[in-house]
Amino acid sequence: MNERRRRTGHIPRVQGQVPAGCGLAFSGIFMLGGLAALVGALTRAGGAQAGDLVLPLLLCAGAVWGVVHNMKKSRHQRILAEDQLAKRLEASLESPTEAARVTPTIHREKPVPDSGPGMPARPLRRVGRVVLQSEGRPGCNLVGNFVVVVFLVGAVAFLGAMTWQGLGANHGAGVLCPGIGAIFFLIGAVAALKHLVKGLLVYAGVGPTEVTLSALPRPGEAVELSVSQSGNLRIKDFALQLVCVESATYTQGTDTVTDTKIVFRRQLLRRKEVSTDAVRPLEATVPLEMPTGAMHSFKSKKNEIAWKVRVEVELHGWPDFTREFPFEVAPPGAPEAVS
Amino acid sequence: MSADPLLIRLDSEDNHYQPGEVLSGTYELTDGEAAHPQTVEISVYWHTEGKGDEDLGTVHFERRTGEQGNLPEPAGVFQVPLPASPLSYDGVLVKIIWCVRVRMKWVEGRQEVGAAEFRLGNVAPVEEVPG
Repeated sequence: MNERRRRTGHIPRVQGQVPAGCGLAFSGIFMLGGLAALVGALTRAGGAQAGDLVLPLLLCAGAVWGVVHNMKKSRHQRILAEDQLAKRLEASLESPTEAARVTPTIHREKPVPDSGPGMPARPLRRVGRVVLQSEGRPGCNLVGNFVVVVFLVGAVAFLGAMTWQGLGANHGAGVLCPGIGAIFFLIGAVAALKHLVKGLLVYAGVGPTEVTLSALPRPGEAVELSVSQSGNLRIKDFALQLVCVESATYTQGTDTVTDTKIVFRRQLLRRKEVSTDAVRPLEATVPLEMPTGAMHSFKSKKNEIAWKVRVEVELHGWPDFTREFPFEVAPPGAPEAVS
Repeated sequence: MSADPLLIRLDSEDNHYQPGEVLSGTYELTDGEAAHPQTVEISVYWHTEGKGDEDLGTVHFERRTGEQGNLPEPAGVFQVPLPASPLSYDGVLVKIIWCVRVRMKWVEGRQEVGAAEFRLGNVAPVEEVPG
Protein backbone atom coordinates (compact mmCIF):
# COMPACT_ATOMS: atom_id res chain seq x y z
CA MET A 1 0.00 0.00 0.00
CA ASN A 2 1.30 3.35 -0.91
CA GLU A 3 0.16 6.23 1.20
CA ARG A 4 -0.20 9.58 -0.45
CA ARG A 5 -0.49 12.92 1.27
CA ARG A 6 -2.56 15.86 0.09
CA ARG A 7 -1.52 16.92 -3.37
CA THR A 8 0.97 19.68 -3.84
CA GLY A 9 -0.37 20.88 -7.19
CA HIS A 10 -3.82 21.60 -8.61
CA ILE A 11 -5.13 23.62 -5.70
CA PRO A 12 -8.44 25.02 -6.91
CA ARG A 13 -9.03 28.76 -6.57
CA VAL A 14 -12.36 30.43 -6.31
CA GLN A 15 -13.16 32.58 -9.33
CA GLY A 16 -13.92 36.28 -9.11
CA GLN A 17 -12.89 36.95 -5.52
CA VAL A 18 -9.87 38.59 -3.94
CA PRO A 19 -7.84 35.83 -2.27
CA ALA A 20 -7.99 35.90 1.54
CA GLY A 21 -4.19 35.96 1.56
CA CYS A 22 -4.29 39.59 0.37
CA GLY A 23 -6.50 40.53 3.37
CA LEU A 24 -4.13 38.76 5.72
CA ALA A 25 -1.19 40.71 4.26
CA PHE A 26 -3.04 44.01 4.77
CA SER A 27 -3.90 43.02 8.35
CA GLY A 28 -0.24 42.23 8.99
CA ILE A 29 0.79 45.67 7.73
CA PHE A 30 -1.83 47.29 10.01
CA MET A 31 -0.56 45.23 12.93
CA LEU A 32 3.05 46.32 12.34
CA GLY A 33 2.00 49.95 12.01
CA GLY A 34 -0.07 49.75 15.21
CA LEU A 35 2.76 48.10 17.15
CA ALA A 36 5.29 50.67 15.92
CA ALA A 37 2.98 53.51 16.96
CA LEU A 38 2.38 51.86 20.34
CA VAL A 39 6.09 51.43 21.00
CA GLY A 40 6.68 55.02 19.89
CA ALA A 41 4.00 56.33 22.27
CA LEU A 42 5.23 54.27 25.22
CA THR A 43 8.87 55.28 24.83
CA ARG A 44 8.17 58.96 24.32
CA ALA A 45 10.10 61.22 26.67
CA GLY A 46 7.95 62.42 29.50
CA GLY A 47 5.78 59.31 29.56
CA ALA A 48 2.82 58.27 27.49
CA GLN A 49 -0.52 60.03 27.81
CA ALA A 50 -3.70 57.97 27.66
CA GLY A 51 -4.78 59.87 24.54
CA ASP A 52 -1.57 58.92 22.73
CA LEU A 53 -2.37 55.22 23.07
CA VAL A 54 -5.86 55.33 21.57
CA LEU A 55 -4.85 55.32 17.89
CA PRO A 56 -2.15 52.59 18.16
CA LEU A 57 -4.52 50.39 20.19
CA LEU A 58 -7.30 50.89 17.63
CA LEU A 59 -4.88 49.94 14.84
CA CYS A 60 -3.84 46.76 16.68
CA ALA A 61 -7.45 45.82 17.45
CA GLY A 62 -8.42 46.38 13.79
CA ALA A 63 -5.52 44.23 12.68
CA VAL A 64 -6.50 41.36 15.02
CA TRP A 65 -10.09 41.55 13.73
CA GLY A 66 -8.73 41.52 10.15
CA VAL A 67 -6.65 38.40 10.78
CA VAL A 68 -9.60 36.51 12.30
CA HIS A 69 -11.98 37.65 9.55
CA ASN A 70 -9.59 36.70 6.74
CA MET A 71 -8.88 33.29 8.23
CA LYS A 72 -12.63 32.61 8.19
CA LYS A 73 -12.81 33.99 4.67
CA SER A 74 -9.91 31.78 3.60
CA ARG A 75 -11.74 28.68 4.84
CA HIS A 76 -14.93 29.81 3.09
CA GLN A 77 -13.06 30.44 -0.17
CA ARG A 78 -11.47 27.01 0.03
CA ILE A 79 -14.92 25.43 0.34
CA LEU A 80 -16.22 27.50 -2.59
CA ALA A 81 -13.21 26.54 -4.71
CA GLU A 82 -13.68 22.85 -3.95
CA ASP A 83 -17.39 23.21 -4.79
CA GLN A 84 -16.49 24.77 -8.14
CA LEU A 85 -13.98 22.01 -8.86
CA ALA A 86 -16.55 19.33 -7.98
CA LYS A 87 -19.05 20.94 -10.37
CA ARG A 88 -16.44 21.03 -13.15
CA LEU A 89 -15.54 17.40 -12.55
CA GLU A 90 -19.17 16.33 -12.62
CA ALA A 91 -19.90 18.38 -15.74
CA SER A 92 -16.81 17.06 -17.46
CA LEU A 93 -17.98 13.49 -16.81
CA GLU A 94 -21.40 14.22 -18.27
CA SER A 95 -20.05 15.88 -21.38
CA PRO A 96 -19.16 13.23 -23.98
CA THR A 97 -17.31 15.72 -26.14
CA GLU A 98 -14.77 16.38 -23.40
CA ALA A 99 -13.57 12.77 -23.53
CA ALA A 100 -13.93 12.54 -27.30
CA ARG A 101 -11.55 15.38 -27.79
CA VAL A 102 -8.61 13.50 -26.29
CA THR A 103 -9.18 10.21 -28.11
CA PRO A 104 -7.40 10.23 -31.45
CA THR A 105 -9.54 9.11 -34.36
CA ILE A 106 -8.20 7.03 -37.19
CA HIS A 107 -10.25 7.40 -40.34
CA ARG A 108 -10.91 4.39 -42.50
CA GLU A 109 -11.46 4.37 -46.24
CA LYS A 110 -13.87 6.99 -47.45
CA PRO A 111 -14.30 9.02 -50.63
CA VAL A 112 -11.45 11.48 -50.56
CA PRO A 113 -11.56 15.00 -51.95
CA ASP A 114 -8.51 16.13 -53.87
CA SER A 115 -5.73 17.24 -51.65
CA GLY A 116 -3.92 20.50 -52.06
CA PRO A 117 -3.20 23.78 -50.41
CA GLY A 118 -6.17 25.18 -48.57
CA MET A 119 -7.67 21.83 -47.56
CA PRO A 120 -8.18 21.33 -43.82
CA ALA A 121 -5.83 18.98 -42.00
CA ARG A 122 -7.59 15.62 -41.92
CA PRO A 123 -5.71 12.44 -42.67
CA LEU A 124 -7.75 9.89 -44.63
CA ARG A 125 -6.83 6.27 -45.35
CA ARG A 126 -6.92 5.64 -49.12
CA VAL A 127 -6.18 2.24 -50.66
CA GLY A 128 -4.02 1.32 -47.72
CA ARG A 129 -2.42 4.74 -47.66
CA VAL A 130 -3.06 7.73 -45.42
CA VAL A 131 -2.92 10.97 -47.37
CA LEU A 132 -1.94 13.85 -45.12
CA GLN A 133 -3.44 17.26 -45.76
CA SER A 134 -1.38 20.38 -45.39
CA GLU A 135 -2.07 22.64 -42.43
CA GLY A 136 -3.41 26.13 -42.95
CA ARG A 137 -5.45 27.70 -45.71
CA PRO A 138 -3.19 29.63 -48.07
CA GLY A 139 -6.16 31.07 -50.00
CA CYS A 140 -7.68 32.54 -46.85
CA ASN A 141 -4.28 33.83 -45.72
CA LEU A 142 -3.81 35.59 -49.05
CA VAL A 143 -7.22 37.24 -48.83
CA GLY A 144 -6.46 38.32 -45.25
CA ASN A 145 -3.09 39.73 -46.27
CA PHE A 146 -4.70 41.56 -49.21
CA VAL A 147 -7.24 43.23 -46.89
CA VAL A 148 -4.44 44.32 -44.54
CA VAL A 149 -2.46 45.78 -47.47
CA VAL A 150 -5.51 47.68 -48.75
CA PHE A 151 -6.18 49.10 -45.27
CA LEU A 152 -2.57 50.18 -44.76
CA VAL A 153 -2.25 51.72 -48.24
CA GLY A 154 -5.55 53.56 -47.65
CA ALA A 155 -4.24 54.91 -44.35
CA VAL A 156 -1.01 56.05 -46.03
CA ALA A 157 -2.98 57.80 -48.79
CA PHE A 158 -5.29 59.54 -46.29
CA LEU A 159 -2.47 60.71 -44.03
CA GLY A 160 -0.36 61.67 -47.05
CA ALA A 161 -3.21 63.86 -48.32
CA MET A 162 -3.52 65.52 -44.87
CA THR A 163 0.24 66.16 -44.86
CA TRP A 164 0.00 67.71 -48.33
CA GLN A 165 -2.82 69.96 -47.21
CA GLY A 166 -0.79 70.99 -44.16
CA LEU A 167 2.14 71.87 -46.40
CA GLY A 168 -0.15 73.97 -48.60
CA ALA A 169 -1.51 75.84 -45.58
CA ASN A 170 2.00 76.21 -44.14
CA HIS A 171 0.73 74.70 -40.86
CA GLY A 172 3.53 73.03 -38.83
CA ALA A 173 1.44 70.66 -36.64
CA GLY A 174 -0.76 69.86 -39.63
CA VAL A 175 2.29 68.52 -41.44
CA LEU A 176 4.19 66.84 -38.61
CA CYS A 177 1.49 64.62 -37.03
CA PRO A 178 -0.04 63.08 -40.17
CA GLY A 179 3.42 62.94 -41.75
CA ILE A 180 4.83 60.77 -38.94
CA GLY A 181 1.68 58.59 -39.01
CA ALA A 182 2.00 58.17 -42.79
CA ILE A 183 5.63 57.03 -42.43
CA PHE A 184 4.68 54.37 -39.85
CA PHE A 185 1.77 53.11 -41.96
CA LEU A 186 4.02 53.14 -45.04
CA ILE A 187 6.56 50.87 -43.30
CA GLY A 188 3.73 48.50 -42.32
CA ALA A 189 2.26 48.58 -45.82
CA VAL A 190 5.62 47.71 -47.43
CA ALA A 191 6.12 44.76 -45.05
CA ALA A 192 2.56 43.50 -45.61
CA LEU A 193 2.91 43.91 -49.39
CA LYS A 194 6.17 41.95 -49.35
CA HIS A 195 4.44 39.17 -47.38
CA LEU A 196 1.50 39.20 -49.80
CA VAL A 197 3.72 39.01 -52.89
CA LYS A 198 5.74 36.16 -51.37
CA GLY A 199 2.53 34.26 -50.57
CA LEU A 200 1.18 34.85 -54.09
CA LEU A 201 4.44 33.63 -55.67
CA VAL A 202 4.45 30.43 -53.57
CA TYR A 203 0.73 29.88 -54.16
CA ALA A 204 0.97 30.35 -57.90
CA GLY A 205 4.44 29.08 -58.69
CA VAL A 206 5.02 26.11 -56.37
CA GLY A 207 3.24 22.87 -57.02
CA PRO A 208 1.53 20.86 -54.33
CA THR A 209 3.47 18.81 -51.81
CA GLU A 210 1.94 15.39 -51.30
CA VAL A 211 2.75 13.35 -48.20
CA THR A 212 1.36 9.88 -47.61
CA LEU A 213 1.86 7.28 -44.87
CA SER A 214 1.40 3.53 -45.16
CA ALA A 215 -0.59 3.68 -41.90
CA LEU A 216 -1.02 5.95 -38.92
CA PRO A 217 1.79 5.01 -36.54
CA ARG A 218 1.64 4.41 -32.82
CA PRO A 219 4.57 5.21 -30.51
CA GLY A 220 7.42 2.76 -31.24
CA GLU A 221 6.02 1.77 -34.65
CA ALA A 222 7.56 2.39 -38.06
CA VAL A 223 5.59 3.19 -41.18
CA GLU A 224 6.50 4.15 -44.73
CA LEU A 225 6.38 7.81 -45.69
CA SER A 226 6.20 8.92 -49.33
CA VAL A 227 6.68 12.51 -50.38
CA SER A 228 6.23 14.16 -53.75
CA GLN A 229 7.00 17.77 -54.65
CA SER A 230 5.84 18.90 -58.07
CA GLY A 231 6.18 22.18 -59.95
CA ASN A 232 8.88 23.88 -61.98
CA LEU A 233 11.40 24.39 -59.21
CA ARG A 234 15.14 24.78 -58.76
CA ILE A 235 15.49 23.47 -55.23
CA LYS A 236 18.48 24.60 -53.19
CA ASP A 237 17.58 22.57 -50.08
CA PHE A 238 14.68 20.20 -49.44
CA ALA A 239 14.27 19.01 -45.83
CA LEU A 240 11.66 16.61 -44.52
CA GLN A 241 11.26 16.42 -40.74
CA LEU A 242 9.15 14.67 -38.14
CA VAL A 243 8.23 17.13 -35.39
CA CYS A 244 6.13 17.14 -32.24
CA VAL A 245 4.68 20.52 -31.29
CA GLU A 246 3.10 21.56 -28.00
CA SER A 247 0.58 24.43 -28.07
CA ALA A 248 -0.79 26.19 -25.01
CA THR A 249 -3.45 28.89 -25.13
CA TYR A 250 -3.85 31.31 -22.25
CA THR A 251 -5.45 34.64 -21.48
CA GLN A 252 -3.23 37.62 -20.84
CA GLY A 253 -5.34 40.59 -19.80
CA THR A 254 -7.98 40.82 -22.49
CA ASP A 255 -5.91 38.96 -25.10
CA THR A 256 -5.82 35.27 -25.85
CA VAL A 257 -2.31 34.11 -26.62
CA THR A 258 -1.15 30.76 -28.02
CA ASP A 259 2.44 29.70 -27.39
CA THR A 260 4.05 26.80 -29.25
CA LYS A 261 7.24 24.79 -28.67
CA ILE A 262 8.85 22.02 -30.68
CA VAL A 263 9.69 19.15 -28.32
CA PHE A 264 10.83 16.57 -30.87
CA ARG A 265 12.51 16.92 -34.26
CA ARG A 266 14.01 14.23 -36.48
CA GLN A 267 15.39 14.71 -39.97
CA LEU A 268 13.81 12.16 -42.34
CA LEU A 269 15.19 13.31 -45.68
CA ARG A 270 17.53 15.98 -47.02
CA ARG A 271 18.10 16.71 -50.71
CA LYS A 272 20.22 19.54 -52.11
CA GLU A 273 20.40 21.11 -55.55
CA VAL A 274 17.53 19.30 -57.25
CA SER A 275 15.44 20.47 -60.19
CA THR A 276 11.84 19.44 -60.71
CA ASP A 277 9.31 19.98 -63.47
CA ALA A 278 5.92 18.71 -64.52
CA VAL A 279 7.35 15.38 -65.72
CA ARG A 280 9.97 14.83 -63.02
CA PRO A 281 8.69 15.72 -59.55
CA LEU A 282 10.88 15.16 -56.51
CA GLU A 283 9.76 11.82 -55.11
CA ALA A 284 11.12 9.81 -52.19
CA THR A 285 10.06 7.08 -49.80
CA VAL A 286 11.57 6.92 -46.34
CA PRO A 287 10.79 5.06 -43.10
CA LEU A 288 9.07 7.09 -40.42
CA GLU A 289 9.88 5.63 -37.01
CA MET A 290 7.98 6.93 -34.04
CA PRO A 291 10.14 7.03 -30.91
CA THR A 292 9.31 4.52 -28.20
CA GLY A 293 7.74 6.24 -25.23
CA ALA A 294 6.48 9.12 -27.36
CA MET A 295 3.28 10.93 -26.44
CA HIS A 296 0.16 10.31 -28.48
CA SER A 297 -1.76 13.15 -30.12
CA PHE A 298 -3.74 15.18 -27.60
CA LYS A 299 -6.14 18.07 -28.02
CA SER A 300 -8.22 19.76 -25.37
CA LYS A 301 -9.76 23.23 -25.22
CA LYS A 302 -6.55 25.11 -24.39
CA ASN A 303 -3.73 22.61 -24.83
CA GLU A 304 -2.53 20.48 -27.72
CA ILE A 305 0.23 18.01 -28.56
CA ALA A 306 0.49 17.45 -32.31
CA TRP A 307 2.72 15.30 -34.52
CA LYS A 308 3.54 16.70 -37.95
CA VAL A 309 5.60 16.02 -41.02
CA ARG A 310 7.27 19.31 -41.89
CA VAL A 311 8.63 20.17 -45.33
CA GLU A 312 11.10 23.07 -45.49
CA VAL A 313 12.18 24.11 -48.98
CA GLU A 314 14.74 26.70 -50.08
CA LEU A 315 14.56 27.65 -53.75
CA HIS A 316 16.78 29.44 -56.25
CA GLY A 317 15.10 32.62 -57.50
CA TRP A 318 11.82 32.07 -55.68
CA PRO A 319 10.61 32.55 -52.08
CA ASP A 320 11.31 29.71 -49.63
CA PHE A 321 8.33 27.92 -48.12
CA THR A 322 7.38 25.58 -45.29
CA ARG A 323 4.42 23.21 -45.26
CA GLU A 324 3.22 21.11 -42.35
CA PHE A 325 1.19 17.91 -42.46
CA PRO A 326 -0.30 16.91 -39.10
CA PHE A 327 -1.24 13.31 -38.43
CA GLU A 328 -2.71 11.52 -35.47
CA VAL A 329 -0.77 9.21 -33.21
CA ALA A 330 -2.96 6.87 -31.17
CA PRO A 331 -1.83 5.77 -27.70
CA PRO A 332 -0.24 2.31 -27.53
CA GLY A 333 -2.82 -0.43 -27.40
CA ALA A 334 -5.79 1.85 -28.05
CA PRO A 335 -8.38 0.45 -30.44
CA GLU A 336 -8.72 2.23 -33.75
CA ALA A 337 -11.59 4.66 -33.65
CA VAL A 338 -13.70 4.60 -36.80
CA SER A 339 -15.00 7.88 -38.06
CA MET B 1 3.09 20.50 10.28
CA SER B 2 0.16 18.26 11.15
CA ALA B 3 -0.72 15.16 9.15
CA ASP B 4 -3.52 15.41 6.58
CA PRO B 5 -6.86 14.42 8.09
CA LEU B 6 -7.97 12.59 4.91
CA LEU B 7 -5.59 9.92 3.66
CA ILE B 8 -5.76 8.22 0.28
CA ARG B 9 -3.87 4.99 -0.27
CA LEU B 10 -3.39 3.56 -3.77
CA ASP B 11 -2.85 -0.17 -4.15
CA SER B 12 0.00 0.29 -6.63
CA GLU B 13 3.51 0.32 -5.13
CA ASP B 14 4.74 3.23 -7.23
CA ASN B 15 1.47 4.95 -8.16
CA HIS B 16 2.07 3.85 -11.75
CA TYR B 17 -0.72 2.31 -13.84
CA GLN B 18 -1.13 1.18 -17.41
CA PRO B 19 -4.12 2.03 -19.64
CA GLY B 20 -6.97 -0.40 -19.02
CA GLU B 21 -5.78 -1.33 -15.53
CA VAL B 22 -8.01 -0.81 -12.53
CA LEU B 23 -7.09 1.99 -10.16
CA SER B 24 -7.93 0.81 -6.67
CA GLY B 25 -7.31 2.15 -3.22
CA THR B 26 -8.79 3.27 0.05
CA TYR B 27 -9.57 6.53 1.78
CA GLU B 28 -9.73 7.14 5.48
CA LEU B 29 -10.34 10.03 7.84
CA THR B 30 -7.56 9.94 10.41
CA ASP B 31 -9.68 11.79 12.98
CA GLY B 32 -11.40 8.70 14.35
CA GLU B 33 -13.79 10.67 16.54
CA ALA B 34 -15.23 12.77 13.75
CA ALA B 35 -18.92 12.41 12.95
CA HIS B 36 -19.93 10.61 9.78
CA PRO B 37 -19.86 12.96 6.80
CA GLN B 38 -23.02 13.90 4.93
CA THR B 39 -21.49 13.14 1.52
CA VAL B 40 -18.29 11.63 0.17
CA GLU B 41 -17.22 12.54 -3.37
CA ILE B 42 -14.73 10.38 -5.22
CA SER B 43 -13.33 11.63 -8.53
CA VAL B 44 -10.67 10.29 -10.86
CA TYR B 45 -9.61 12.84 -13.45
CA TRP B 46 -6.78 14.31 -15.47
CA HIS B 47 -5.91 17.97 -15.65
CA THR B 48 -3.37 20.02 -17.54
CA GLU B 49 -0.69 22.17 -16.00
CA GLY B 50 1.75 24.53 -17.67
CA LYS B 51 1.54 27.76 -19.59
CA GLY B 52 -1.92 27.25 -21.02
CA ASP B 53 -5.21 27.61 -19.19
CA GLU B 54 -6.22 24.47 -17.33
CA ASP B 55 -8.26 21.75 -19.02
CA LEU B 56 -9.60 18.75 -17.20
CA GLY B 57 -11.47 15.56 -17.95
CA THR B 58 -13.18 13.20 -15.54
CA VAL B 59 -13.32 9.43 -15.91
CA HIS B 60 -15.12 8.77 -12.64
CA PHE B 61 -17.27 10.94 -10.38
CA GLU B 62 -19.24 9.41 -7.57
CA ARG B 63 -21.14 11.01 -4.69
CA ARG B 64 -21.78 8.66 -1.80
CA THR B 65 -24.64 9.72 0.45
CA GLY B 66 -25.07 6.57 2.51
CA GLU B 67 -27.74 3.88 2.34
CA GLN B 68 -31.14 3.48 4.00
CA GLY B 69 -30.95 6.79 5.80
CA ASN B 70 -27.46 6.13 7.19
CA LEU B 71 -24.67 8.57 6.56
CA PRO B 72 -21.65 7.30 4.58
CA GLU B 73 -18.67 5.88 6.41
CA PRO B 74 -15.60 8.12 6.81
CA ALA B 75 -13.49 5.34 5.27
CA GLY B 76 -13.98 3.29 2.15
CA VAL B 77 -12.57 1.78 -1.01
CA PHE B 78 -12.72 2.71 -4.68
CA GLN B 79 -12.07 0.85 -7.92
CA VAL B 80 -12.01 2.63 -11.26
CA PRO B 81 -10.98 1.19 -14.64
CA LEU B 82 -8.56 3.55 -16.35
CA PRO B 83 -8.95 4.67 -19.98
CA ALA B 84 -6.47 4.38 -22.87
CA SER B 85 -5.73 8.09 -22.94
CA PRO B 86 -4.61 10.71 -22.25
CA LEU B 87 -1.39 9.33 -20.83
CA SER B 88 0.54 11.20 -18.15
CA TYR B 89 2.84 13.68 -19.84
CA ASP B 90 5.63 15.94 -18.65
CA GLY B 91 6.13 18.43 -21.45
CA VAL B 92 7.51 21.94 -21.84
CA LEU B 93 4.27 23.90 -22.16
CA VAL B 94 1.81 21.14 -21.39
CA LYS B 95 1.74 18.64 -18.54
CA ILE B 96 -1.00 16.07 -18.07
CA ILE B 97 -1.52 14.93 -14.50
CA TRP B 98 -3.84 12.19 -13.27
CA CYS B 99 -5.40 12.53 -9.86
CA VAL B 100 -7.81 10.77 -7.52
CA ARG B 101 -9.64 13.16 -5.22
CA VAL B 102 -11.81 12.44 -2.23
CA ARG B 103 -13.90 15.12 -0.57
CA MET B 104 -16.01 14.74 2.56
CA LYS B 105 -18.65 17.30 3.56
CA TRP B 106 -20.44 17.61 6.87
CA VAL B 107 -23.80 19.20 7.60
CA GLU B 108 -22.30 22.15 9.45
CA GLY B 109 -20.26 23.15 6.38
CA ARG B 110 -16.96 21.58 7.33
CA GLN B 111 -15.09 19.74 4.60
CA GLU B 112 -11.93 17.70 4.17
CA VAL B 113 -10.26 17.09 0.81
CA GLY B 114 -7.53 14.64 -0.05
CA ALA B 115 -5.93 13.96 -3.39
CA ALA B 116 -3.30 11.60 -4.73
CA GLU B 117 -1.54 11.84 -8.07
CA PHE B 118 -0.63 8.82 -10.14
CA ARG B 119 1.00 8.14 -13.51
CA LEU B 120 -0.82 6.56 -16.44
CA GLY B 121 1.38 4.96 -19.11
CA ASN B 122 5.06 5.24 -19.90
CA VAL B 123 5.53 8.44 -21.86
CA ALA B 124 9.07 9.74 -21.54
CA PRO B 125 9.60 13.36 -20.48
CA VAL B 126 10.53 15.79 -23.25
CA GLU B 127 12.60 18.94 -23.62
CA GLU B 128 12.37 21.89 -25.94
CA VAL B 129 14.22 21.43 -29.22
CA PRO B 130 16.14 24.57 -30.20
CA GLY B 131 15.68 26.24 -33.55
